[in-house]
This record gives sequence, C-alpha cells and structure tokens, in this order.
Amino acid sequence: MVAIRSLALILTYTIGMCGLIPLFPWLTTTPRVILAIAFIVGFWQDRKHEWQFKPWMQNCAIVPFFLYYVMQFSKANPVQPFVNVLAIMLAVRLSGEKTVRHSLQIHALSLFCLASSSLYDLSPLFLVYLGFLLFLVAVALVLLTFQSQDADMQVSASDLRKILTAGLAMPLLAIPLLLFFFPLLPRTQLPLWNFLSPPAAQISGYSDKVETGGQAQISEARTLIFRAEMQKLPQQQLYWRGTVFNRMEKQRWMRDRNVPAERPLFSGQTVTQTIYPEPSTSRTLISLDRPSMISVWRVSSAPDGVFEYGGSYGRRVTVTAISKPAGTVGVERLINKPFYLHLPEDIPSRISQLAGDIRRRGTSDRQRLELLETYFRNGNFRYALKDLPTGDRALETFLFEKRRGHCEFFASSFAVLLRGAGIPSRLVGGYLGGEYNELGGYYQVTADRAHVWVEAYLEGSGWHRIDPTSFAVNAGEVWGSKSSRSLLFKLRLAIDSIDHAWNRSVVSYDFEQQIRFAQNAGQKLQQINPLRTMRRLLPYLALFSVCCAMLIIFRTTVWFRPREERILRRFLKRVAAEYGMHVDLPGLGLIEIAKAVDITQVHEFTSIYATALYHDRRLSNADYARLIELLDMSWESPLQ
Amino acid sequence: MYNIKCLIPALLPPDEIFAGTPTPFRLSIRNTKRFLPSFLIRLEHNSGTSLVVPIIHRNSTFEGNLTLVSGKRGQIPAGHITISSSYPVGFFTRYLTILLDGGFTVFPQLLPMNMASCSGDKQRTGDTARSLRGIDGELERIENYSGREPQRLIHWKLSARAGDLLVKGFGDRSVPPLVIELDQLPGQNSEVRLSQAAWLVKMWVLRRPVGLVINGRTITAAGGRQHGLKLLKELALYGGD
Repeated sequence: MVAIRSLALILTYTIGMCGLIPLFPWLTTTPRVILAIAFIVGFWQDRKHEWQFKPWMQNCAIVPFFLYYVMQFSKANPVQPFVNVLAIMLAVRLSGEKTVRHSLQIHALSLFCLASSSLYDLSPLFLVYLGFLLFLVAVALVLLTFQSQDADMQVSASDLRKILTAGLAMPLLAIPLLLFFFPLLPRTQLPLWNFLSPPAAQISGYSDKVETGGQAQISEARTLIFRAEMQKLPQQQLYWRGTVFNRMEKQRWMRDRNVPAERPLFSGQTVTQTIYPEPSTSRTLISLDRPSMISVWRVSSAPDGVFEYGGSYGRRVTVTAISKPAGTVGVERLINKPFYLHLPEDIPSRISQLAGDIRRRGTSDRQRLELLETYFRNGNFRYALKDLPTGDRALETFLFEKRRGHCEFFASSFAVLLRGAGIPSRLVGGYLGGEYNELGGYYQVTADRAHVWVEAYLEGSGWHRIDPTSFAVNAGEVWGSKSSRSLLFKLRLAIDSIDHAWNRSVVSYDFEQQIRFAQNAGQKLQQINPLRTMRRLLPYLALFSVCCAMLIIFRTTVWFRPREERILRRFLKRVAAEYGMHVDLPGLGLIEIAKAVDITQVHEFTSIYATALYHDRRLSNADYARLIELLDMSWESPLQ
Repeated sequence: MYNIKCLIPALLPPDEIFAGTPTPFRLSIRNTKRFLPSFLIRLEHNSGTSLVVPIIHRNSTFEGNLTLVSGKRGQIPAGHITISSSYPVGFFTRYLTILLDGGFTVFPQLLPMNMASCSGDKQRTGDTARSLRGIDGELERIENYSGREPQRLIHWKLSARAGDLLVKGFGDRSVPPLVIELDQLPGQNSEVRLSQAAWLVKMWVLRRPVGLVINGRTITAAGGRQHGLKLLKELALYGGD
C-alpha cells in the first residue's frame, strides 16, 4: 500500500525544484540562501512530522522581505525585486507543513517562478520545464484531491497506477487543444512579455565606426547575431550588409547620416531571405548584400542600402528581405562624387604618394582599381588578429611595414587609397559567410564573422563590391577552412535548429505572423479544387465508412455480444416459440418464466443462469456448456 | 460528470437492527462502465454517514461498511445515497442522488430489565441450583433407590459394587416457556415496554421457548433465531399502520 500523502509530498518538492531551477541563476544571494535553508528545513520537518513554524509565523516572516523589495522596485529595475519576492514566498511555503492548501500555493508559486524566469531567458528549455511542471501539477492535483478527502488514505500499487494514469491523461489530452489554440489566440502588435524584460545587452559583431590602430589584438566571440532562412548560396556570395561608413576623419571611418541621394539599379539573381536577428541594441537591419527591399514594421532605408528598424530595440523581430547578391549595383544618373572622394587632410604622405602613383599610372578608374588590387595581391599582406599595428600611424604601418592586420585594416587602407586615386568608395560593415543548418534550412551567423569590405564606384557600371581582405596571402587559410563536420558540430546545429524553431514559432509569433498565417490558410482554402480534393479524400472516406459500418455491426450484431446475452436470447426465443411467452430482455423475470413453463430443463437453466447473474459474475465454461446442452435437448414437463 | 455516472449503489442491512444502536450496513456500489474506472467517489447516506472509495474498477463492485443509527423502531425506508466526486481539491463537486429501493425493519431499542419484577419467578441464571428432575436430561446424580423410580433407571453396575440399589438421577431437559405479555411489563409507556420485551426476546429466545402476547394476539412460544426475529418484528411494527 502507498500513502497518498507521501507521494503528494514528493511531487510538491519536485514541482518546487522545477519552478526554481530555471530562476535560480537570476536570483540575488539573499533569496538563494533562504531557498537552500527552506528546502533543508522543510524536508527535515516533513520527515519528522513535526512542524516548528506555524503558518502565521511564516506569513509574518514574508512581510519584511516584501517591504524591502517593494522599496527596491523602480522603473529601471522592475523584475529583480519581483522575482526575489516570489522566490522567498515559495521558500517560506516549502519550509512549513504541506497541507493541501499549502501544497497548492507551492504549485502556483512554482509556476510563477518558472514564468518569471522567462523574463530573463526565454529559451526552448523553458518549454521543457513548463511541460514537465504542468504534468507534475496535473498529477499532484489528483493526489491532493484524494488527500483532501482522506488525509491518511492509502491505495494499492495497482490502484495507484490507474490513478496516476488518469492524472497524466488530462494534460496529454489537453496538448492537441493547446496546439490548436496557440496560433488562433489573439496577439498584440508588440509582445507584452517584453514589457518587463530589460533590453538585451549589446550584441553586435561590428561597431558603429571603423577605427584602425585601437587595439593590438581582438577577440572573437561566437555569439549568435542572426539566422537567415534561405536557399544555400556559394560562400563567396555571403556578404551580409549592415551599415555603410562613408566618411573618414583622422584614422576613423564613420557614418555620415546625410547620405547623398542615389537610385540603385538592381539586376541579376534574386534571393529572398527571412531573417531572425537576435535581440540587440542595434537598430541596423542586416540582410544579404545588397538588399533591394526589406519588409518589417517601421523600417527606414538610406540610399546606400542601409536599413534601420524604427521600433523599440531589444525585442525579436522577423525581417523579410529581397537581395541581389551579384556584387555590383548600377546607379541611375551620377552619384555625389566629392562626398565619396573626401579624405582628411592629415593623410600620411606615404599613403598619398601611393594613391597618387596609382592615379597617374591608371588611365581609367577600372585600370586604377586593378592596379590597387595588384598592389594588395603582391604586397604580401597577411590576415591576422594578433600583433596588429597600433597608434596614430597604424594605417601607414599596416601598408608599408607590418603588412598584417584584420579586415578593418585591409578595407580602410584600400578605401583610402581608392579615394586618393580618385575612385569614389565607401566601407560596408556587416558579416561574411555563415554556417548553413541543413535541418532548419537557414544560415546562422555569429559575431566572429563580422567583416568590413569596400564598395568602389566605377562610372558606367555602378558600385562594385571588393573585399581587400581576400587579397591577403593567407586568405585561403582563413576563409577556406571549414568547421569540421563532426558529430558534436552536427549536434550543435540540431540544437540550434530547435532553438530557432522555438524563437520562430513561439517567441516571435505576433500579430503580424498571425495575419500571415490566416492569409496563407485563406489562400490555401481558395486553391482547393473540390473535385480533386474529393478524389484524393475518397480512399480515406471509404476507409472511415468501412470502420463506422464495422463498429455499427459490432454494436448491433448478436454474435459480438457477450455469450451470456447470446445464450439468454436463444433461451427466450425457444420459450417464445414453444410456449408463446414474449419477454423483453430488460424486464426479465427468469424465475417467473420457469414457474410459468414448469419444465425441468427450464428450471435448471434459470437456476444456473440466475446464480451467475445474482452473484454478479460471468458464466463459467462448465455452466455455459451445461446451458447449451439444456437448450439442445428436448424439454419435458416434470409431471410426465 | 462521467466519473459518477453508471454507478449503482445498494444498501444491505444486517439481520438485526435495533433503534438507537449503531449498526454496520453493507454498502455496495457497482461501476457498470465498460471501459473506465470511477475515481474518488464519496457515498453519503441521507442520515449523514459517508464512505470514500478511492477507485471502483470498471465492471466491478466495491463493498464497504456504513454505520447507521436509526432513532425509532418500525419499517424505515432505505433512504437515498448521494454519490459525489470532487475535483480538483474541492473546487468543483458533482453529485447525483439515488433513491434506494425498499426499506428495513428496525427493532425496538434494547432495554434490560429485571426478570423478577415481571414474573415473580426468582430463577435466574446461576442464582439457584436446579431442582427439577426428569428422565430426558443430563445424568446429574446417583441416589438410592426409593422404590418409586422406574426400574430402568437402576444403575446395575454401581449397585453390584455398592451392594445396594442405586438409581441414575437425570435432570429435566424441558424448560418452562417464557411468555411475554406486553401489557404486563412494568414500563411506564408502551415504547419502554416494547424495548423491555425486545430485550427479553433477545436474551432468551436461544435458550428457552419464548412467546408473546401482543395486541390481544398470542404468538405461541418457540425457540430459535428465526422465531426470535419474528417476535422482534412484531414488536418493531407494534402500533404501526
């Protein structure tokens, strides 16, 4: 026998753990310590069946904490005091006696704790915890209902199995309904969940300026920046455009927001992407170079192909972009050449000389560009992230002495030389490459893929994408090296695709997506051809009809009824045939029939049958055989 | 709601139910559902006593005891049983009330009394030695032959040894019947007298023939359990319509 109370107690502790584990890393030290103590004290008291703290003491203990954290509450810090109070309330309840009422409070508080953990991190793991918690709560509710009826109730192991099965069946049956209602329930334009959550920390692979010589070494972080659902493309086309740096001051490239007007002329292959950027403080929208159109709520675009998001940052958005990845974009009419040729006055003389030399040697812009490319190709430049040129003369040191640097050195110096040689140019900041997740059908781009390249304007053909870093002697090693497709890597991609599916279908599922979902459903319905659909559904309908027919036959045909009923029907039929007594089954009086007929075999039949009937059991095989025998023999009156 | 459907309760009374005495009844409940068990069913009789059943398996019967007390004698209806099921934790309780068929006879409350006060017969169990002699009872003594005893009572073997005639002395197996005249009982009112009569019947009917004079009607003295139940039933229904 199993005591219901003990099982409910174990479940209550598990539920408490389930609600607290995801929240624990986000709590401050005080609630953490209180929680640990509460668990130990509660467990010890429950084992001893002695509870030192009365409920009123516990309730009083919460008050000072509540007041303290209410005072901590502010617009800048709305979440932390709230979750701390929640955790302390749960700790206090866990430390005391677990009556039915208190257990229910623990369940509710655990659910709130888990929900509040999603204010910090809404990962797919949250769904795992939530699912687990809901199942546990459903089972615990059943057990607590038993406990509320009889606190000391004990049930056998087999009965307990049935009770637990019923408890688990309820949430299982609710899952299809949950899936059905999730896309239909009304959504807001902005996810309300973000109301309390603090803006995400700065996650951006590139900065808002390109400044060479600032650091001798840069580190690479593999933080995810965005995912892009699209077809797989050759790696050399994967330039993800973010921002454009169009003005140089001293050694620093920055963005002048007064971008001269220009009208791009797009041509070539079109690639459509759905981009899911990770929340960040940057408003720049990233898409495959070069985007011709980006559709998202409150987007603004600049003539140089930079798109910015106008909504509040720090939340998940879904961006649809159409790009032309050819690498060349024509321009209708002329561009503002002086703007893109501007250079600061303090350009080192060696750089000016080099630029002047190229300008003189080339007869056209295209030839000058080729000369510069040749200079970089043959200059024995190396791509490096360590031992970088530093100081005010970093660019000069890079070009003429060290000849090693990262993409910013390459792009910055190339663009300076282009402008010096009279070719309009600008720097484009974004990302290069990405890992294609075959499972999810998307590219994932991490912060370490941040890249800067150059766009040079050639009259007649427009802006050309040039990646000076690719001229490095070791470029092949850097770009050619592919991540090993080990089992671990595949596993990482698989986990990432789950994470992506979660973000895509749950976290960023808002009103816009709901409308899109409804439109798609509407379109699909309109496309349905009734005749063709009927033809396709015919086999299923036929199968369904056969199943229904079989069920009806099974329910109505005597041969599928229990043998007790079959033999009784046979008996009554014979009585009706031989003695003209018509008896309906429900109002059956077997003994009365036997008395009225007064036949030895009928008496025996009714006696055997009634014995089984009144003892509420089924006929034994021997009884059944005897009844058949009685029905088969001829009936004689006892008097004869 | 389906949890409490297809449940058929039945209340099975014991043979003897005395007014004012807690009596265990057998309460059976049959779950006629073909596929599903019923969980946590509370069965409450209209008298207020209840029974909680954790699970009643499909197509099976659960049996439990329900202690009921009836305040008055007579033919009492079986009452009704309320089948309820609450989920979750008393938030919602669904219930069905089922009227039970038939009823049961409640005998008068047992009220002990002094036998001497009603019959003048001082004989009570263990009070005096038995003096009645007979020929069909147990062998109680050996005594000298007085000449009046039948010759077949002479104990030839012992007489041969003793050199004098000795006879076997048997006790009398027949006990005088107890006829209870309800109106002659010393109680202040009829209910008290009925209770006293019931006590007398219960006390003696297995040991000696008991008869009853009630409502001017005489029930011949007889012994045994069935006769006792008959007398108690007479007493239970006395004065009823």
